Amino acid sequence: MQKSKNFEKNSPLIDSEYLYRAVFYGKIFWKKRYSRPSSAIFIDPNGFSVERDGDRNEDKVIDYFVVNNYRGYLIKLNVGSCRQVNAYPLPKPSRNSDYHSEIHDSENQMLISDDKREELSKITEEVGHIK
Amino acid sequence: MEETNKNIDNTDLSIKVADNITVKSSVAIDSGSATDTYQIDNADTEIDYVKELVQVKEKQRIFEEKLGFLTKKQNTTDSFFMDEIESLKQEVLTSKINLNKSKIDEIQILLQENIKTLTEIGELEDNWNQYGASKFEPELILKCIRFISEVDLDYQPEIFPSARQSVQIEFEPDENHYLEFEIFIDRIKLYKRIETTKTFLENITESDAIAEIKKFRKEFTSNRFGISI
Repeated sequence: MQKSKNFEKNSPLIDSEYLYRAVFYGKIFWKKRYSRPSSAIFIDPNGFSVERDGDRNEDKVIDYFVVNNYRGYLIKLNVGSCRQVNAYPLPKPSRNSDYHSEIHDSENQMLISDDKREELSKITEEVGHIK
Repeated sequence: MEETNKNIDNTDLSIKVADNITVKSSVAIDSGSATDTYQIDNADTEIDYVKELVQVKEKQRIFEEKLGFLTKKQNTTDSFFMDEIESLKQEVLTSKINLNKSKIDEIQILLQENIKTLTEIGELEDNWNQYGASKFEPELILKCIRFISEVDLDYQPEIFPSARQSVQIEFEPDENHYLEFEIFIDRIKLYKRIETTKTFLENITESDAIAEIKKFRKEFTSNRFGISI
C-alpha cells in the first residue's frame, strides 16, 4: 500500500478529507430522479466502512479499490459535511488498510439513524465507475 | 380508476379523468371564448401529471374548437348541433378511458420493474456489497412483493437492499416529502419527513404501512392542491 508521506496511521480525520466507498450494486442503489444513492447504502449495524483519503490524491485512492478488486461505483463524502449532519466519522485502521475509517451515528452508536442516513445520501458525491 | 363526476351540457364539460384529476372546460357561446380549469386532487409525481394534463388539454381544445365553431354556425336548438355535441361528448369520454388505461398500464409497468428488482435482490449472495452483508431470506422478498402488489397501492415506490437483511422502500415525490419503510421478516419500520417535521415508528403492521402511504399521498397533495397548468 502506497502511503502519503504526511499520513500518520490513526490520525484524526480533518474536515477537508474525503471518505470513499465502493457501491457494488450501484445501479440498484441509485435514485435516478435525484442523481444520488438511496440512504439504504448507509444501513450497517457495524458502522459504515469507508477509506479515508489520508492526504492521498484521488487517483491513489482509486488505485486502492482497483487493486483490492472492488467493483461498481465509487462514491465519496466530505468529512466536514458528515459532521454538519451530525454523523460521526472516525479513523479505524484495519489489517487490510491503514486508511480504513467508519461513519457512525454518534460516539456511542454505530448504526446511523434514518434521518442522518437521508442527509448523508444528499451529500454523497459520485466519483466514477471502478473498472 | 373510477369515474366519479361527469357532467356535460352544450357549453360545459366537467370530467374527472382519473382519481386525482378533474378538468372543467367551458365555452361562452356569446363571445366564443373558452376557459379551462385543471384541478389535481392527488399527485404522486408532478411530471406524470403534467404529461397527463397535456394530453387532456389537447382533447379539451379539440372539444372547444368544435363547439366554438358549431355555436357560430348552428342554432342551439338545431338537432344537428345536439347530435354533434353528443358525438363530441363520446369522443372526450373515450379519451378519458384511454388516459385512465394508460395510467393503469404505467402502474403495472412500475410494479413489474419493482418485482424484478426484488427478484434480483433475492438472488444476491453473501457479501453482495463487498463489505460482508448477508444474503436475503426468500420470505422477506415474498413479503415485499406482497406489500407492493397490494390492490390499494397504486403508487409504486423505489426499492433498495440493505446490509442488515432488510429491504428499504422509498417514496420521494419531491425534496420536501420523504417516506421510507425498512421491511424486515418480522417487522416494518417507518421514517417520514414532511419538510422539517420527522416521524419515526419502530414497529408497524403491513396494513398500517399501507395506511401511512395513503396519508402521505394526501399530505403531499394538500401542499399542491389547486395547481394549475
